[in-house]
Amino acid sequence: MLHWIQYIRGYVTIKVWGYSVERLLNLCGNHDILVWGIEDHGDYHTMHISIEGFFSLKPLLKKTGTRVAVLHRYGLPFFMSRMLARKIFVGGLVCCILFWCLASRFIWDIRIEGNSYLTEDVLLDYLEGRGVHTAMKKSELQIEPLEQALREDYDLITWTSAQLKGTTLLIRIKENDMPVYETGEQKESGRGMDITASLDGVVTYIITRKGVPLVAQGQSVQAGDVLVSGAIPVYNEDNTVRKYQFVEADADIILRYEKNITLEEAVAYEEKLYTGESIGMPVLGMGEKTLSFRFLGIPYDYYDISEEKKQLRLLDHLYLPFYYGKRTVQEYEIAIKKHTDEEMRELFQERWHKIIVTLDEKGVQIAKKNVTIKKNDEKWVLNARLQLEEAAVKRRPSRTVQTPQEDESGQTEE
Amino acid sequence: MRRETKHPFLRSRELIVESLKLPKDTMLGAAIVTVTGNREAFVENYKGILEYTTESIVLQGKNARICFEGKGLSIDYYTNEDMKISGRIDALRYL
Repeated sequence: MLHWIQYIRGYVTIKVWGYSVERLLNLCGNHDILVWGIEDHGDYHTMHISIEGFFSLKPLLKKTGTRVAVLHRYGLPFFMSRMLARKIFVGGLVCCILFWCLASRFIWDIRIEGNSYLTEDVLLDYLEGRGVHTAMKKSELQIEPLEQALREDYDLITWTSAQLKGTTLLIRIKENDMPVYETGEQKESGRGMDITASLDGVVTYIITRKGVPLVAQGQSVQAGDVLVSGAIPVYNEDNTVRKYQFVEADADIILRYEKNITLEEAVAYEEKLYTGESIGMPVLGMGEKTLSFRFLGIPYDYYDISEEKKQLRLLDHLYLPFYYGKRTVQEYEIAIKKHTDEEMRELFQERWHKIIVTLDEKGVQIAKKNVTIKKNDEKWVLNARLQLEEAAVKRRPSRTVQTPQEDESGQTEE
Repeated sequence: MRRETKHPFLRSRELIVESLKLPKDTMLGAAIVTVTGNREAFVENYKGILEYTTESIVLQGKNARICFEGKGLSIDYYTNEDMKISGRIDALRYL
């Protein structure tokens, strides 16, 4: 505590020599001049004295015939005067503090956690639309309404939490794992949901749990045809429709359809033989423009250019439009080669396997396949005729119109 | 330790102070010396510094001089009322 007071008030270390230092000390005591840390060095004494004390020392020195010299200066008053001499430094320091104070009032980073169906881009665009973006003022952000809006506008989102951590806006969401077919709006309108075909094909399997099936097994359908209607008619005694009861149609339906796949592969191919010669050059970029530091031309006929660029960033997500990196130019020679039959077979097998895996992932089953391969010296062509089975259905609001004159609830639609 | 003076006035004054149980330091101007071990001394009620070297510090009290002898003696601080002396104190004498 005492040190702080001494530092704030400031003091100097002085060297005193001359006829009678003791007398000077006595006089200092009598004049209430605070002196401490007095040390005897033989020929002279050193001591600490307050700034005010130092300035009132002059008559006492004269009286006692002693001389004084300042050895060191300590404390805030001296620091301040030194700082004032460095105007630009002090200005920079003040500007820096002001900048941080100002910058901390804005949001510089938006992070979204817990999204899997909704991509970050979609959500960021949505936030942008609501006026939530990086470099916005923290005070303009209303967290509660934002959370509510996210829940209301995306039915997939079942829970939201927005949080401001420093200058980062952290939005955590939970998505509904079950796909949502029916929105609250459709439910309110009292319209049912139909199941329609999304492809042309033949119905090979249909079991209806809810709704009125409009197709039978073995029937051909076209894309967009209603397979199961969500409007269940209620008949009058004379077999006319009295009204419709709307439900959300539910059924297991499998459509069979045909698909042709053609794969081509040339026998001859160009192979790049890298000579091992390469040139590396540093690259700097700003925005769209890239500048590479190579003033001589590239002395190769054929070459690959690969570039590794890193973007400068502040924090984790705030990227600046500056890039740096390295560009490598590798020379190669072209050699024309031919695949052997074995290699060709492997190539086709690989591509074919990929197609099968993709179909499998989509839940498509192959009922029949007819694969032919035509070979000649130049290329091989694979033709596959597939019969696929898939639950290729879509749901959409029922387009059946309620009969208005008989409608008990008085609803009129379209 | 305190040297007695034969001054009749002082003697009678001392008697009064003692009988009235008044504090001696203020009434008689007697110096109070508090020595902690042999490293530190605290002096109150002194009048001035007569000599100050690393070997000896001589202070003027109202009735007597107080002399500290030792090695590496220094005055940590002093004000009009009190002072603190540190260093190795070998002897304390009243002159």
